[in-house]
Amino acid sequence: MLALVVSLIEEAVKVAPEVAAELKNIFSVSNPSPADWEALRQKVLSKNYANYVPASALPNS
Amino acid sequence: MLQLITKFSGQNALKFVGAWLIAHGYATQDQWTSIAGGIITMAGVVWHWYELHAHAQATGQVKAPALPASVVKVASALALAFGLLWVSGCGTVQSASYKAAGTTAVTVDTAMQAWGAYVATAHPSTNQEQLVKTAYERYQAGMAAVCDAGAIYASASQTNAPAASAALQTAIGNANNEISDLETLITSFGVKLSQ
Repeated sequence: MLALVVSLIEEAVKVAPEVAAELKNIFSVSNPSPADWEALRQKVLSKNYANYVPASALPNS
Repeated sequence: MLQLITKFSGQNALKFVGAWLIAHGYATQDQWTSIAGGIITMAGVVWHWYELHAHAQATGQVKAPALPASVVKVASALALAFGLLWVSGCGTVQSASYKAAGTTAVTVDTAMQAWGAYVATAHPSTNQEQLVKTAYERYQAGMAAVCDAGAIYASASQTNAPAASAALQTAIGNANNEISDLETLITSFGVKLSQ
C-alpha cells in the first residue's frame, strides 16, 4: 500500500511540478505568522473567474 | 481499478491521519471532520466530474474531449499528499489549519483549471457558467475570512487565543459550506452532461 501511495505522489509530482512546489511551500511553514496568512489570502484573491476560464461566454469576464 | 484503489486509499489515509491527530491532541474530532471534509469534497468533485464526463463520452452522449488526465491525477493525489505531509510536519492546531487551508486552495485552483478546460471544449450555457462563477467567488470570500481569522489567531495573546481559535474554526466551517455548494453545483452539471 505504501508503495502505491508513493508512486501516486511521484506521478503527481511529474505531471504537475508547480503543484508539488506549491504544496512544499505550504507545508514548509511550521508556525504560520500573520504575514503567511495574508500571503495565502492574497494568493486566493489573486485570480478571478476570467483567469481560469478565458473561453468564457459570460459578459465582462 | 487503479482509480478505485486511489480513491479508497485516499479516504482511508485521511481517516488514519485524523485518528492520529486526535489521539495526539493536535485536533478535536469536530476540527478534523471539518478540515478533512473540505479536502475530500474537492478531490471528490474533480473525480466524480471526470467519471461522469468519461462515461458520457464513452457512450457517445457528449463529444467534447476528456478533461486533462493530469489535472484529475493531481487533484486525486492531493488528498494523499496532504495526509502524508501532515503526518510529517504537523505542529499546532493553527499550523494544521494553515496547511489545510493552503491545500484546499491548491485543490480548488486545480478544479477551476479543469473547469476552464471544460468550458473551452464543451461550451456549457452561460447560466451554468454564472452559477460556477458565483460559487467560486463565494469560496474566495470564505477563504479570505479563514485567512483573516488565521492572521488574528497567529498574533493573539494567550488570553485571546481561545476566542481567536473559535473564530478560526467557525471561518473554516463556513468555507467548507461554500466548497460543498461548489461540489453540488458541479455534480449537477455532470448529470446534465450525460443527458
